[in-house]
Amino acid sequence: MPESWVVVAVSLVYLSTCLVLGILPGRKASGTAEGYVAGDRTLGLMLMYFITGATIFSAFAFLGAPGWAYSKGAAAFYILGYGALGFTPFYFLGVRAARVGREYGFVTQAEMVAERFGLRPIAGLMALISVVAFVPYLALQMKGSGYILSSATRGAIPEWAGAALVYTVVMIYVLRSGVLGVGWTNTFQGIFMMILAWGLGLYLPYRLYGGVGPMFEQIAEQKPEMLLAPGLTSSGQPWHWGEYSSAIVVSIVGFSVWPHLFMKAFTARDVATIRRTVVLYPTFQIFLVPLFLIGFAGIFFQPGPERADQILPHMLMNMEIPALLVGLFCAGALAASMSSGDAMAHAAASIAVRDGLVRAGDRRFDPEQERRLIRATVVLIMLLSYGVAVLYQGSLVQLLLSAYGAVVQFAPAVIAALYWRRATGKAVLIGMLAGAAVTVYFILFPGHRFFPIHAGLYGLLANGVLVVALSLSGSAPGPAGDQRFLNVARGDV
Amino acid sequence: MRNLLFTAYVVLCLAALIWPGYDWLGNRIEPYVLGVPFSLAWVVGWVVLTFVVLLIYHVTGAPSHEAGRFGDSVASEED
Repeated sequence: MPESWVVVAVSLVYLSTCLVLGILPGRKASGTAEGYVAGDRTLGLMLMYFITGATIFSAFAFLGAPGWAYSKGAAAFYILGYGALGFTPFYFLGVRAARVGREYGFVTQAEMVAERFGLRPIAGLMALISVVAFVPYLALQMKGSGYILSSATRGAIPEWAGAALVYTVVMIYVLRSGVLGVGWTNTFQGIFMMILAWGLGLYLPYRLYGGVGPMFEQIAEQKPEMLLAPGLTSSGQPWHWGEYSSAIVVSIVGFSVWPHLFMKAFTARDVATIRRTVVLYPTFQIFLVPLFLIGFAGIFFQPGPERADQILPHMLMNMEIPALLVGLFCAGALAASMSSGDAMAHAAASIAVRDGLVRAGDRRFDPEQERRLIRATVVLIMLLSYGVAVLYQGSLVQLLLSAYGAVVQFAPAVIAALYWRRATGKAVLIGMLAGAAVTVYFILFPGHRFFPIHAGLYGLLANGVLVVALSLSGSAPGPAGDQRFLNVARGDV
Repeated sequence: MRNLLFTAYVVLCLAALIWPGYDWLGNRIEPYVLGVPFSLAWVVGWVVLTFVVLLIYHVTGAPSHEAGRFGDSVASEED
């Protein structure tokens, strides 16, 4: 059993490093909202690669991916499968967004869509959906970090204190440095996570089975259903191919339009940087493989954990391994939680102020004032999420799935805004509302679906059909300036 | 032509990752690839192939005339 103080010491050293790395770049950014939210549009390839990669690999990836492989087997492969193509649309969308962003001064996704269609309520709706999605997500990251610290120290640090400690560090560097703080810490945390995941992913199968090959041979002999797609559900029943396939399709369509990810298009130094980031992204995705190996290594581990997503810390705490290694795992898992949580907090505050107040509410601020307001909102959103994490006892996952299902419905609006001249604001707004309603309904009542496919796909179908049909039936070609917007998007100006 | 080939690849890749493509061609345990069952190696293979195809698509595109235009206004921050 590892000694707690070593674990705590390693974690503290790690947190201090993140703090220093996160605070330093703040001196360079300008004092405006554009500097705080979009880093003055100066980010190069390395920061873009890690800011997008590490943001996606959250506490869910570090705990959830092994948990899926452990309990649902090949069902987990869908996460890797959608990652193959998931970022590809951004090669086209991101570039167009960056061009109009620079021309019109956008720093968020919703203000871009609202400006294109000349319809302010769109920004308000998108801001609302985004913030509603981010708060439970951030709360889950906080819970994850508290859980990790608490279990690695066998309760010496209670969960609420662990989460408070970790997220105070995050809050300081997000406040101080904005997106540059997020970028620099994510670069460090991304590298750290990768090394640690590969280390553990190869070490655990070796230690428990004598290697990756012997491990899979034993699984193939005793539980072959774990290794064949579409895998199992959480109750151990075979998963449906329709669910597996449609989950991949929905994720590919929706991935690029997640607001915290999409708005990074506005941070890039140039168009080539965005393209290179997309090209390199699959290399980050490979990092899921060792996390799957960890989960598969747990299948024959006795005694089993209480919950599937505890499998990794559970194995570490019940094996004879050096405390230093447990400390490093702890830091790696915190890296995963922090590198997503920071981007969430930063994006949620930027969106709430820029889209909610400035666009939808038509309030005017000078750049300094706006930056201060966004910072105040960062604190507010983090406190709110912490409150949810500590106090709320219901199912956060259900809330999160519903909100994320609604976020995917931004896709038709974003694509139409950047590509389709005939699309109208009214059509996009109605499509988004209908798509979100359909998705949330089928998430809450999965039994009402006609066919076992992902709720988000029903939403996307309704959304897409409405956008096209209503746009084509409307006689008005949209507000003046449309053509110029699209010309800028194409790079023709 | 370049865009057509790329679109064809995207469709092919998607078909290979979901039902029925994945079930027909990739969904089996043997042969093992580097100790990993074929069903997992299949998905990893498509991720790697996507990287290669994207890279080819990227370098064969017209050099971005915007690279300089976007970059010259501000000094680089991180290198």
